Amino acid sequence: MRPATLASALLTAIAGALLMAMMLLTVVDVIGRYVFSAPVPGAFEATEIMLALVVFAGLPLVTGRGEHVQVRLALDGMPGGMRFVLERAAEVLVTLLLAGAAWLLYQRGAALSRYGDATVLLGIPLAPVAFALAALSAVSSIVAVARLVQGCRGALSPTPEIPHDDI
Amino acid sequence: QTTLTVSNWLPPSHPIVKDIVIPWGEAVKEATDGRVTVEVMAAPIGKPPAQYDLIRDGAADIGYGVHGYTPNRFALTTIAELPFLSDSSETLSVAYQKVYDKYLAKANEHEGVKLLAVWTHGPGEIYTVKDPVKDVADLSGKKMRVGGGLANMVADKLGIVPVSAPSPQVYEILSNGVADGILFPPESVPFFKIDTVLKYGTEVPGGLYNTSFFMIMNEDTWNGLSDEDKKAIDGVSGVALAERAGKAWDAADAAGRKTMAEAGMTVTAADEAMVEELHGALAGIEAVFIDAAAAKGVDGVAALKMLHDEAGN
Amino acid sequence: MGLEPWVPGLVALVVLILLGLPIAFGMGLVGTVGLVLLLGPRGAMSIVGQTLFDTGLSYTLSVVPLFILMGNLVTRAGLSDKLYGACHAWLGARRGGLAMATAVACGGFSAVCGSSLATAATMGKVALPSMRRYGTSDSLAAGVIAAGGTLGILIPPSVILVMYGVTTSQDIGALFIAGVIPGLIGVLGYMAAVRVTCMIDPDAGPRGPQTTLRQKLVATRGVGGVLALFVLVIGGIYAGVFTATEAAGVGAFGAFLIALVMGRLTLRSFAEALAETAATTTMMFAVLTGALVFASYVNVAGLPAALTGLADAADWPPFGVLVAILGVYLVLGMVLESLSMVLLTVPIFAPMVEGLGYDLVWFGILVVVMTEISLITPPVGLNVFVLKTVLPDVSVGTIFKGVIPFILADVVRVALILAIPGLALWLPSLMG
Ligand code: NA
Ligand code: NA
Repeated sequence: MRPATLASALLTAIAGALLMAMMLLTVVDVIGRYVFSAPVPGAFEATEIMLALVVFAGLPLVTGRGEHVQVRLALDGMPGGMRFVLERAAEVLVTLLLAGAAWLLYQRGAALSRYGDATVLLGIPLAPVAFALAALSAVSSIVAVARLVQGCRGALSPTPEIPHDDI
Repeated sequence: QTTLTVSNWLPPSHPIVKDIVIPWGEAVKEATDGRVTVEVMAAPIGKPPAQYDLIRDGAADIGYGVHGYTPNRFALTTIAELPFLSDSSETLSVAYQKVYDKYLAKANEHEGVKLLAVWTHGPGEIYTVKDPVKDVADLSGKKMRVGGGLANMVADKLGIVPVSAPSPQVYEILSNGVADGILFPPESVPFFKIDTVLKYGTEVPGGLYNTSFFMIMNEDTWNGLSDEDKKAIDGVSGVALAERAGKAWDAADAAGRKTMAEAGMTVTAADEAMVEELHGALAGIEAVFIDAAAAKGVDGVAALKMLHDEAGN
Repeated sequence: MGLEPWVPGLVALVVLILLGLPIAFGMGLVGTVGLVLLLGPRGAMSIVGQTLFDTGLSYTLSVVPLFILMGNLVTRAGLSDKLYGACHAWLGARRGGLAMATAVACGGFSAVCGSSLATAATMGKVALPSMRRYGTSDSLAAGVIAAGGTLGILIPPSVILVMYGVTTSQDIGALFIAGVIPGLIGVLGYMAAVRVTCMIDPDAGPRGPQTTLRQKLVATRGVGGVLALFVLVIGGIYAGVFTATEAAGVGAFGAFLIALVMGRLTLRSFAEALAETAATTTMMFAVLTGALVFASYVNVAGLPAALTGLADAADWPPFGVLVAILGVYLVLGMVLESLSMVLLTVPIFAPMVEGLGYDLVWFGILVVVMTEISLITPPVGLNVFVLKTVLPDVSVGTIFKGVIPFILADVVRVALILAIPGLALWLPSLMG
């Protein structure tokens, strides 16, 4: 398998596993409360962290497939050359913004690590979470560069207006 | 003519906004002869735990927050979260600010900002949905919503099963039985509209726990003010602001108690036997503060003694 | 009077979005640049960095992926086909009947799906092929699904109502129950809109095939699964068995079990449902994060204060202010994504509306109906874009033209709820 395919499969698996864990954690928490009068301690904090990780694990995938919500109303009515320029310009901006997000999240991680900030109940340290989000944003930015290069070679299939089938 | 913006994450009807921040802003305006005005932002620019960093970095000029939301940053402010400190927010807040100035300030826990004041809310009490709490055994095994900070440790020592949920969700978790009760100051019960869900209250003399608040200003903003304005703002901040905040909480607590009575809640004071039990179960909890103080080179024992003396117990 | 600092930002955002920059990045970029200009780089980066980190770390928002997962699993279980099949059997043979059946099926699917986009996407896949086969015009077919899909956030469960309840400290169970009757009125209104469309253009909605009573009854059995899930989720919340947030997890698990029992779930299709949910979640949170950065910018730039000042200065009667607020939603809804619009405006308007003496549950339903409208108004109508992906050969303009009658039906619905608050408040008043 190509490394890109492998990475994409891995991220999909991680995001899917996290979603399933969120679902099961809720069910176990509810059952624990009613049957054993013992809710899962700090289920709420674990859910929060899993949600953040799901969101960012999906970011390279959504970016790579060009699935971010977009309005193509004006684009579609334009002559090809102008549309090509605007599409590439948008890809450049997306690349830069994702790189910027990675940098800001890295800064956040550094600050959280300096303070030793952790969740209130379970004491889960927050800096590693921020670093993970930063890394996933950085990967997304690299993916966006790859898309830009492909786009310049004219190798992209036309992007759908709303990308994913099952929003 | 300077306008200072206040980052605000509470609704405009909350006592912190309408009775503390806005009147303080008016006091600043008056003290500076109108040279400095204070403007509260209409919508939040970040979550409650983010407020400290936002102000330090200059996202707004002034902000307030809860030390317990980022517990690892503020070890010394646990002094004001201890149980049995005072029945009055005003007394405790003034005492706390004085102790802060004398003992805690030198540890520089509020690094990179100008600290305007610290204060506490009123005494944290016990409220339940189904059964009244008459002794410590009644608390054991109960699922109670606890906000965080030292209150978690209090809950732990009393055998409470802590349920954590963001405060806007307390209505939901109490009304559908996710939690059996809640540890809250009297003000918060009507504020979160749970006076219609809760049936019983048990008030603990001095409070079962408390919460420590800060109000801060961006350092560059502060340094940019004239010496005259700085002096004027200092005059209405510190002990004066802590006193203002404490008075506001006491009034809000009184109003809260009245609303609870009107809603038909049965609120009683813990009897002597229960108070004794609580003191027994929570004995030594102040070590959390004293140890933290020692680690930061602060005389915790002396600070705690001063707090008790100033608070009148 | 000088130019308010939020005006150029709004203009820039509209331009960037129209030029094809993904919405999340447009809002993030304009918001960030605006904040840098207003606060300097350090303060701006602090807000943006915090927003990037904090937005996903939210327990209340965990309902979003879980209700989406529930909808995806319901679709995998084939419940959406069965639901449409039943509606088709009962209504299909009338003029415009297939489109009416679609409106009803959208309402039914909304009872197990918390998102309007998911409802539109699912019903698009289920109902479009048969509407096209029997000659329903593209603009009517797409219009009724885009509009019917909006019911996803009004008929409980609803991601938007959860958000509203959390921001305004209102009982989420009461909000859910309050959405039921306005949701049903929505279905009736959309059926009327189909009728009117067919009166104007008789070729738009030809009749479908006749069905026998027996066929109708057989088809109706297929809605049992949807009903069971609705009772589990909404009944569970109503009876106080779990919170709305927990209901999302329990509902997703229930849909998982139903799909399993119906033999429709393979390891592969389950993995696909999870992957789709993750991708959708990412897209929504990207938009949400961008919207929150943009919201901080307009906040710092003084837009909310300007709005409040406007209301104070106008010295209107309370009802006038309320109608003006709904007008603001109509305008904002043209350009903003639904969740962000609600999160941006409700903290500003709700205290104002409560101060005027209005019930916040009622206001919540009004806000959600306005949000529904925002999903189908140009230039940014997300439900319309969803339909575009299912109908790649139909232009966005054609779809927007198709939704016009449905927008008019929505306006009538808003007027009804304004005139008769009991439409929203009667059912919750019967609760506990
Ligand atoms: Na729904
Ligand atoms: Na719109």
